[in-house]
Amino acid sequence: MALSLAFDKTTGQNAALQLSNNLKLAFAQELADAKVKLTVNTDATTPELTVSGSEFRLFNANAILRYVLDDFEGVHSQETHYAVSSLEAMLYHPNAPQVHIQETVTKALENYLTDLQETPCATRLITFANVYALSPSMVESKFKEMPVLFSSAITIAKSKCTRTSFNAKH
Amino acid sequence: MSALLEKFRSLSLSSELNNEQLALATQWETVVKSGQIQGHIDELNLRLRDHSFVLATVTPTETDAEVFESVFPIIKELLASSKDVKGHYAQYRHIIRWCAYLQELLDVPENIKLSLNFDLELPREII
Repeated sequence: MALSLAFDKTTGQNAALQLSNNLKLAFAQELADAKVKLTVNTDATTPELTVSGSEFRLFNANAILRYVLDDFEGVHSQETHYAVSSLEAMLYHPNAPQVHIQETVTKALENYLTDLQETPCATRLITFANVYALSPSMVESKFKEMPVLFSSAITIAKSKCTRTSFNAKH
Repeated sequence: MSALLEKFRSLSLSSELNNEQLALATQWETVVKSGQIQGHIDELNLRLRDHSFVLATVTPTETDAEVFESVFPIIKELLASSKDVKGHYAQYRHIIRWCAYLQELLDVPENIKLSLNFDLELPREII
């Protein structure tokens, strides 16, 4: 199966959302099964996964990550609900009060991101990506040393993001 | 669980989903839960142009019920507006067809239902 993956290079949208999307796509790229021929489409500017020879197309980074990892466990879990309805919803509101962001991130760090495993499930990766994008500093102060998977995904994701003052800050 | 989803589950219309359909379910459920359905109306209309239901199943799934619940008020408001009703019917004709089916299936109360004008003459869709 040959898959084509496009990172989020949208200009003008909020940087945290873009970082979250690109982190999930970087995890997908890093963890794709060797049997899957995954190439990166550098022409598209919005998140996208297409399968060669079919009309199948995904535009949502959570769905792309789960599909590439073939991991649909926990799609209806409390963690997924929190990751999407609270954390991800907040990513769409770049002007949300900092206090509110900190509370939401703290709750995720205490309840779900208690440690970072070398081989996490898709649900945990989605939670991580949303939490990291909302507050990189809070995640980095909790996890001084991150497993290679996480640090390399962060490097890839940041390199795919369009340059803004947010990139310079973090 | 919402009342509509509960009603849907009582219909026992379960479908066995493949990986592509599971991914599409994740996609649309994420869009709904993160509050972004308004920005994906055109994408949904396109999806329903090519498929009867969101996951390309032969019968509706829970994803249809979940997406319907958040799209329904948006479509209702669009069609209730006095401006360019015909244009809205034309632009979202596939979502409207899908809503018309689901509101009957899910037994939406008469006073809430979309009141549709099936006699409206729409321009031919150019694909």
